[in-house]
Amino acid sequence: LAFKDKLSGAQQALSASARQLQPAREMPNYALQFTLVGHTEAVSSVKFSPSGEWLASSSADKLIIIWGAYDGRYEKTLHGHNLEISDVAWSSDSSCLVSASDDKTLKIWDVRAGKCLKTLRGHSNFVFCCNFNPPSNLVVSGSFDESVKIWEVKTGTCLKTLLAHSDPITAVHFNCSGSLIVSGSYDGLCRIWDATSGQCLRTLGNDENPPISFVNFSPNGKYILIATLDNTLTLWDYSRGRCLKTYTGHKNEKYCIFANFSVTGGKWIVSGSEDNLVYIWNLRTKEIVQKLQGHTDVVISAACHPTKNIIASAALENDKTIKLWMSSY
Amino acid sequence: MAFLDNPTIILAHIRQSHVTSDDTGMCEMVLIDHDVDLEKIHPPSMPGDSGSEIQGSNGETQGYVYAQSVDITSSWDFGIRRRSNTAQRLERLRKERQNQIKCKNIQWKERNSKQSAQELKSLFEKKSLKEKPPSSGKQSILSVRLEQCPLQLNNPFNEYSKFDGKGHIGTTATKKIDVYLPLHSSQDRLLPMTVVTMASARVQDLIGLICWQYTSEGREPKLNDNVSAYCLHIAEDDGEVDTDFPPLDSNEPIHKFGFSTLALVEKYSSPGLTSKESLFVRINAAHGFSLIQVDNTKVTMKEILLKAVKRRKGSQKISGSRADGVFEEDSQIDIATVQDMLSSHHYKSFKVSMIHRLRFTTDVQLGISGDKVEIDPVTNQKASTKFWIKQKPISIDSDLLCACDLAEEKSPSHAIFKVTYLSNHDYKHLYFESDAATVNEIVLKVNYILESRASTARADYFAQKQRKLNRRTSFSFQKEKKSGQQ
Repeated sequence: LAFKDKLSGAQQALSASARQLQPAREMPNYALQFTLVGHTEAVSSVKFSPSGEWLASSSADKLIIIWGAYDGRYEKTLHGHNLEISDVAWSSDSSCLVSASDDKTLKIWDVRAGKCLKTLRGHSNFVFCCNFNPPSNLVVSGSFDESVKIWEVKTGTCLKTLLAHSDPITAVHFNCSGSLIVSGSYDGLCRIWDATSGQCLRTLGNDENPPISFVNFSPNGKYILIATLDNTLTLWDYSRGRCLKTYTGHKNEKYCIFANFSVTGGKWIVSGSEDNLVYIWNLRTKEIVQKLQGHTDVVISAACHPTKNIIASAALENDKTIKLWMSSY
Repeated sequence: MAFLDNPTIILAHIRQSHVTSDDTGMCEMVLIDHDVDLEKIHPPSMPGDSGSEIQGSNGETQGYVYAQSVDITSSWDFGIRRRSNTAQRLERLRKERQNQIKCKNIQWKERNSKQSAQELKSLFEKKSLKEKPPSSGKQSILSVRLEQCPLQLNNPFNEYSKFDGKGHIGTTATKKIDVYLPLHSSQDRLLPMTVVTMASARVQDLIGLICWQYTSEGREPKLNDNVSAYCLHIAEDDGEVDTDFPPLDSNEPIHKFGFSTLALVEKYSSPGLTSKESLFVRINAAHGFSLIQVDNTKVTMKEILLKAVKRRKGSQKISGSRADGVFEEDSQIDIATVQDMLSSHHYKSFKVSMIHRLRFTTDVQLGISGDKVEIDPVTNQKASTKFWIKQKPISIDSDLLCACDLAEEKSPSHAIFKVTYLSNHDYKHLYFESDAATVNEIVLKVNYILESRASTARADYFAQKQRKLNRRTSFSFQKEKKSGQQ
């Protein structure tokens, strides 16, 4: 099946290039390369390491598994959490991971040694999302206790607590310079914070908006991608507070599905969906350019490789697998 | 003339002001005697400069630092005199000497005398540890007693044993009473059980003591575990229970009474409608509360949790917060509860039978809504036979509703519930019967309304009930009569 896909994709590419001599292709040709089996419960998040070598996956079975990004080979397992893990994130040098768990803690791991370096305690409810800042000296976390916490990695202490929202926080992200934090919550608001002072700089949306399930800065830090539980993804220019693009066609009404920018080849928006497919949109034209089929349950997470055209997708408990898809462009 | 553009003049002025105005002398000590800041700025100037300048005047000289005014005299004779160096050194030497005394210096000497190996062995002998045989001594009296009296441990009335006065006769006030027991066999009825009780015991405690003694003596048949199922009646010397008088009030102390013979009787429970209070457990959830009916206060949390979860319609598989898609679940969960709550205030009518005093029932339509409860008679063909029971439609405002409890559940098709309401400063009870499902539904619905309204009538009703339980009825009238007879 994968082989056939590759062929048709290649044919398409040839015809496209014949028509227009432009380096950027209109459509990617992602095809399934590997299926990674190992988790015993629903997978909650997959992330590629910034170096491109590894893929980290967190799951409801309380484990984090590290896989090889190019061959899908199992590398190691990190245990330590007492309850299900909702998110995992890499540090910029790919040596550390931070994981957010329902046991109200975050753990910072040394990947090479496979050990937990620090446990960050302070949240009073499930910790749902986490991220490193680019210098990787800070970790930001969002929790069901409606607060965003900024932690210092070296000491494991909470530096700041932002009483950010009035509902569980579903996503937190640093921008590429580390000066801003974006947070999204079920209350329908997306807020941008100054990372050093903790001041709220901007609020997008109002509480009549549908709950926000995911937010992300674009790689250049200029735009914010917001996913809402009304089957919509929107791209905002946050400095002007304007919505620039809207991406629809997928299904997202219940789960906090990750979405990402794919900038290695063509410029796409990649997202999982509740209809078991991975959706890829053309960033500019907002059209669905590909739908990747293969999972047998909700695709909760989709990550893009930093240098190669590889997408990793993970699904919930009916499936429990991670799939690696590769494309020529 | 002092020029205010010269910073040193201003500084000096400020410093002098502090020194002069400070009564404690601290500023003087700091600023004049040992001024760290100024020493840093200006290295200590020649002594010739000090004392020659007058403060406030020409501030151009460098040696101004040490300018002393004739008015200001160093007052360090009065304050704490700093210890001189010598004194400090002497002190240090003294301390060292003292510490040295505490330390004993021992010179290490090499061992000259050679000791034989034998002698060395004798220094630290090996102790032989033999297995001690288990102590086969006499069995202690305690264990003997424990073995012999299993009944004592299992006596459910052990808490009342403290009122036993058998060991205290003569020392403390005790009372000896002959108690006739509720034995079903007529033979032993003649012999009472002698109970010695502490005079401070109440009637309730005496009942407990009687039960305890009964059980510890091993009398048959076994008593009911619940002490409140029994009461004491006055009895004749031959064992005949005097049923004319009411039973002794439980809260009266026993020394008030002069009876020497009493009888333990099981309480007479009216065959009528026993009011059983339906117990509701209120579970506060995110979107309100839900009431779960339980049978008694001894129900475990697990059962309540199971019932609450069942209410939520559907099992919850916990697979982590992200994999759960919690947001959607949350709003679905409480739909059942919210529906119950919201619909409780909606008007709904039920066809039930109202039970009147003479055990006659009439069919009525019970309409319950958030505002009021209406009882409308349903005329049926046999109205003529029951004409003496004039059934008027009754409307009870929800604010006057006090309680609604399940009274009896005889079978799935027959259950009775009671509605209590306030009418003209008086609490009235109405009994209705229907099939168990309807009755439960009505009771739940009315309780939801009651919980959410929190009316004063309901609060007062419960307060009064509590007071009634605590109230003592004086028995003095009966006592007078008895002593009069004697």
